[in-house]
Amino acid sequence: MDVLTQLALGFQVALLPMNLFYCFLGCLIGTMVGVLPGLGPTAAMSLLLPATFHVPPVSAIIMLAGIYYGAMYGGSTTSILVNIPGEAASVMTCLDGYRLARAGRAGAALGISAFGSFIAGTFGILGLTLVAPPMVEFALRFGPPEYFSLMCLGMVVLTFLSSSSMIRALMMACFGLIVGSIGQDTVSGTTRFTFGIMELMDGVGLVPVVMGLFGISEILLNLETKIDREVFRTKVKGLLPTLEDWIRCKWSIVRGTVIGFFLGILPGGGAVLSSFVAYAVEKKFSARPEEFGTGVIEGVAAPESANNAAAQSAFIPLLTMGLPSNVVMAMLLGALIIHGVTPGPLLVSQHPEVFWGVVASMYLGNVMLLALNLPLIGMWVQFLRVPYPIMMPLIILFCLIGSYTIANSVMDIIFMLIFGLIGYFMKKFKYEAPPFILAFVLGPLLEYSLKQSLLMSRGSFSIFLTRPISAVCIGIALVLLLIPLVPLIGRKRPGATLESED
Amino acid sequence: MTALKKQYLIADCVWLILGVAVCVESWSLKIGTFNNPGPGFLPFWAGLLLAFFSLISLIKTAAAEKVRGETSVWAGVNVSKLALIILALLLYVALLNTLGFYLCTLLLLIFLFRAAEPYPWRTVLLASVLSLAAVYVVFVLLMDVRLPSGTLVSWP
Repeated sequence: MDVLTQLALGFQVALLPMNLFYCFLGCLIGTMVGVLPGLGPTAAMSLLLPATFHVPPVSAIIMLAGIYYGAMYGGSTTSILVNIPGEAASVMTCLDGYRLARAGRAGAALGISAFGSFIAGTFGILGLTLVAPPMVEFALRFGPPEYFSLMCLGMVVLTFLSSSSMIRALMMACFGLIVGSIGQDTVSGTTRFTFGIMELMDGVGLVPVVMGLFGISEILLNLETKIDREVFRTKVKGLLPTLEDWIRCKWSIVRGTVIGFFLGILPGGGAVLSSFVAYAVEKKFSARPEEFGTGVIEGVAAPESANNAAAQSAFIPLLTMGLPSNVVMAMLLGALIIHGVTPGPLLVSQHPEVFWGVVASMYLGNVMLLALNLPLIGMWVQFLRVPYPIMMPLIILFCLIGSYTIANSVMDIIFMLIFGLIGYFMKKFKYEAPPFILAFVLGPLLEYSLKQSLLMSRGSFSIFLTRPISAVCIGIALVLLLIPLVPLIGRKRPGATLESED
Repeated sequence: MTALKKQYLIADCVWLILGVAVCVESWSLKIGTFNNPGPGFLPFWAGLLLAFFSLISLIKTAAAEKVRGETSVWAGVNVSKLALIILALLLYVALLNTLGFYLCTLLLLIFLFRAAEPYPWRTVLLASVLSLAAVYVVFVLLMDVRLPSGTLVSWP
């Protein structure tokens, strides 16, 4: 079917007043969340997940998606103004962005960041529009063995890219699989690890887990010490970058977009990795690499473009194959399943309005974000003035209500608090959450694919190796698992300098 | 051995024990065979791998000369404040169904606003009541959400 016709259908859906509203809400909240340090897009999405239950799936995804790429825009504001990255994908922006602000060029940095994000975001969506349909064709060749192997690969890649030791990340992935298996086994109907608690029959809910693991644990972490935030007192003048800035940055934006787009698709990739790689590449391409870190505008343009492009392309594997490529996508997968929409190759044919509606809303969202970010910079900075001791009880309150309203059950609040504590200790001891979440969401699907595959092969495990796509995935996974054992190459693991996803 | 190293070792031990416990529990769930996995199959292997990896991590930490980081995981942490807040949250959950949402939450908010920073009581009370009012308007009136009513104290 013609892409343009599909897209037109998508715009019809996206331009409905309710969806426009949710898109705007998502972008607004995403920007706010991106601006506020300590609350990343993952936490925000988990807090707002319950609020989406009463609306149709399209609107829910439009809003949640808006939060995600909106946070990429907002994160740069605090990075540049206060040297605090709003979330992990904006860390690289701090390096040169803050220096530029100190030199009185905050306006140019913010402007280039916003425009770069817009251009990259738009091209990312364009890529999504063009790449997705052929990918669906490709995805139809995926059977249970391929899904199983790809999921394994995704988990391995995520652990490979973790910033702490890979062993720890693998431990978290195992933990995720275990927690994911709590409840009734879909195939045999046996209840596992419920210990007689009735509310555990359906397993531990995604929402209490993520709210606790990301929201509550972050609050507990912030409560350890007093936080002092110094807001930039100088007025932000001259919002537009000069012509010279544009000329210098045009290739940075292009490079950032391309890097971000491709890294966003890869399992385990995502906006964080893209921004780091884009910055490093930009430095290599530059005529004056030694100036990076002192306030070079390309050092802002590249990572900002990359993280926005990655935020868009991350949707490709999720929507076309039902496979999340990072933590945020895993959460969206969970959310979609709760709404009764199973993403995958059949999504485009069975629910074209969902797929194309979301894609169309991304175009609109990017425009909204440009409009939101440029003029309202002054307002966003005001948010930073709200003292944390006031925000903290409100965030906790929000979490408590949010987790309760899922099923009108106090047990969900208890689960959230338990996972809040677990998450807190995990953060203290440097065990990372993303592998856990990915494994938690993928666990049941993994098990199902395994059973189906063994059914197909009548019990033989060789099916994973005889089918080409599956064999390739397993092969790459094994290589990645063994690389850290080779000391020389093992040290070059990109995660060694990475921060974990928010 | 520094306190930090000991703490990391304990952490790894916890995971090791958890992994083993999961293995044992999965055994009773029927693991099945490789060709025909039972319900206990995935958790068994996940638990085993967890135990295996935590053992490796344990050995690595024990063998390492120095563990990177502060002297202790709790360095600079106001442990009593943290513990108090956690306790307050647990108490909240325990009393929620007895005292009902509004009373319980009001008490919690007052405690949290005060615990986070010693604001004057008037400010704390005002902030708590305002937040609760906002919650009522947004969640109950606008979003038609049902909040727990207590067995002792009831509210609309």
